[in-house]
Amino acid sequence: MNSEIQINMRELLHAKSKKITDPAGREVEILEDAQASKVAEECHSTLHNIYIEALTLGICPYRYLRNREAISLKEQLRLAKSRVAVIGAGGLGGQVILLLARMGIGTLVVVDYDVFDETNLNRQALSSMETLGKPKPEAAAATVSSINPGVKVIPCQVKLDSSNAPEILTGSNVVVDALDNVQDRFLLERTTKKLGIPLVHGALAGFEGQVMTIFPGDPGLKHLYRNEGAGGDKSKRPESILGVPTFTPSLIATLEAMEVLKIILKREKIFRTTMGHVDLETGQINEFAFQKT
Amino acid sequence: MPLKILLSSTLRKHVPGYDPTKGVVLSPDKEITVAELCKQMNIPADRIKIIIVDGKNKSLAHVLTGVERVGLFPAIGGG
Repeated sequence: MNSEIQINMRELLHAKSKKITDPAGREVEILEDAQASKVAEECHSTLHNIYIEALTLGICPYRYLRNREAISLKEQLRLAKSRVAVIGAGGLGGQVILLLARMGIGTLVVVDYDVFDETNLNRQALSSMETLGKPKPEAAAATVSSINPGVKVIPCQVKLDSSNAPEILTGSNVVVDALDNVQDRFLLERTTKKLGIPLVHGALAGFEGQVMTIFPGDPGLKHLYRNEGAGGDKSKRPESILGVPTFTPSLIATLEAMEVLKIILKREKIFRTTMGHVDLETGQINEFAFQKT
Repeated sequence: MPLKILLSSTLRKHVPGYDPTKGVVLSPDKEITVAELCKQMNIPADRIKIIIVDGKNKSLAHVLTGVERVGLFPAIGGG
């Protein structure tokens, strides 16, 4: 953006913003979406850029008002400038995408080769009668646009493999594992380690699920699965036998999204070389430590 | 304090009447490895991918004195 356009945009943003009192009685300068859209139109820009510019000026996009003060304006700006790749847009991925979009992650790369079918309707947040038969990344882009048009979605309807993974993942601040099998997870881990990107792992079966954040250099998945063949025969996998009922991906996706937030905002404490394990049946959340090598 | 074994996911199917809120409580009369424990409980060792003893990751060869809390997990991969 050249400086003349930027000055014009900033003047417009100040002119279109207004001061209000938030529910805690604090005065805050906000920008409503209707006004943000007008500025975007006048400046031939996008809501994505307008949010970033507003936040830089200390103006809170009205939609983020209720993130305060869990997320400061400076942190909201950091989120708006961030890029997260979500690999898999099914049970875990659908929820992660919606959560990160509402939280205000600026750019989401959504990777999934599949289309929605009826068996997805029990749990996959982006599936509906309207999206049956449609590619999952396409549905993600449409849904995110309807929730938060300030989030840029890059849909990739491909199966991630060793040849395309580096190009798709490069530039992301964090990658989210929302896959549905062990073998693909190892491929993803190899790539994120090579690219130096933190990976947030999540997996589930029945009413149990697990989460772990893996930084390059961490032992990671080998502690959880030992090797790529751990999934074994599909018919014997816990997720095949016990199923994947909706509460579990919802909760594991929330834990994964929180890991993403903590990594980007450099907050403590993440599930690094530890596994967060949830058993909804018994109502227990436990943390287990692993060796760091 | 006896040995307490908590099973995750499909491993529970190997122990008839398993109650996930209580686990299995055993009082072995001598030291026992995790592998021996699994055999005693009729749980195939190859289905176990994570072994947690008192909150820490251990192997099948780990020796239990008989007072630990053991968690056994299979590979779960659903998403």
